[in-house]
Amino acid sequence: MSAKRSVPFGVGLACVAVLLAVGYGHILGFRDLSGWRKNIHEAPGQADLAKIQAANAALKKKFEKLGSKGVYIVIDTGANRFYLKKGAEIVRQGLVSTGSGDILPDPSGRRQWVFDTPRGEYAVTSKVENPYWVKPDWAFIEEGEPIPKNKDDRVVGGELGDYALGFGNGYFLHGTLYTRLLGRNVTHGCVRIGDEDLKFLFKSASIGTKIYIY
Amino acid sequence: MLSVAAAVFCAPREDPVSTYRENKFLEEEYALAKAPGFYFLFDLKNKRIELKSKGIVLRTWEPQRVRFWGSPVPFRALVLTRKTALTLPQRRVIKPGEEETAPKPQVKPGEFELEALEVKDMPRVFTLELEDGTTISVVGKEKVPKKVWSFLKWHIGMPLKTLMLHQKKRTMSLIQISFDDPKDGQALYWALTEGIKGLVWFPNG
Repeated sequence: MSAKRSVPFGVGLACVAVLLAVGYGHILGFRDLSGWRKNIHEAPGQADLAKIQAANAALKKKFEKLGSKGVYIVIDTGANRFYLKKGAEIVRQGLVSTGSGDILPDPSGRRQWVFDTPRGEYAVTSKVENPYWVKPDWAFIEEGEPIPKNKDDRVVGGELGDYALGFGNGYFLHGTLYTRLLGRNVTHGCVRIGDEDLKFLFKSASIGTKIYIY
Repeated sequence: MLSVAAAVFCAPREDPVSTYRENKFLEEEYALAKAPGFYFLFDLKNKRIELKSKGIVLRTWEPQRVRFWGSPVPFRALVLTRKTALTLPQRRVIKPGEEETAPKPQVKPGEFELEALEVKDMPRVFTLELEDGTTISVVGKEKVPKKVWSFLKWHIGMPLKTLMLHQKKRTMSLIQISFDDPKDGQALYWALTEGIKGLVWFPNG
């Protein structure tokens, strides 16, 4: 065979080989694909059906007991929205401000703070009217101010709005002076809420009301 | 009497396989739901991803396109071990004394840029790796040149990869999803944290 003919012949042969390989790969793939629809394999005998039906009913009842009985609060830190819900029904929703995700290192190098709103399942642990803020160390460090030795020098009034709902570890759902930042990630971890929404939440929630933050 | 007999006779008989599948699903979800923390459910058939806690749905995503390839994902709780993307979101480190909440000048009327980690900073294209090696790949909405490349990758690249793995007696599982609105993908990246457990399933297959 001349060189002129052997080149296209070789290329053709390679193409056929690739096509065959792709075809075989598809066959293997399709064989696997059927398994995706049946990733729960076994099936019961007719005799077991009644038992399984009873087990399913019992499991569904258990699920009902797991969920929150009354109202609960859901905070979406990505969308910066809150939802007050009862079952699947949304009772009220609105904007919030949640953690900025920024990092503040202590100039001493011994510690640092990450300003995230904690995620997970929490419960209202305290309800406070006219709360005042006891500024933690990071608030002074962030502003480049010396940390006061006297505790009274840390107390600031009016920053947290009219109400605060604590959910542990110093985190609160509270009011804000910076209402135009509602809907954005700007806080040091607490959840800021507009005045009217906060008032509604404060009246609707009681100690123990679940808070789900994601 | 006749009507009772007719009702019994005509009552829909439950399919044993569906009942069994429902049972397995409820058992697995209940194990996740009674544990503290969040979990996710990925319903491949109905193209729905749910973030849940204690059986309560916190957020739902409905990707417009879901396709899968390779070995089936096992039906058991799987841990999301890693999130990967070409560019990972970066946290800002505050310099003490710097004004933190001051927004930058407006980028568009009514909008302003903040130095914070927000959903819009999350990647639009990323992968979620599950503990059994399953990869959930989130791809963006593609335009024509990229669509062609993606088509070739899926219909030629994937079979060839399957063949190579088959030679080595190894398997792979890939789920690819895409959202029309990239914000949904970004919100998914935001909400699913590494370490979260979840179930991937195909109801009433």
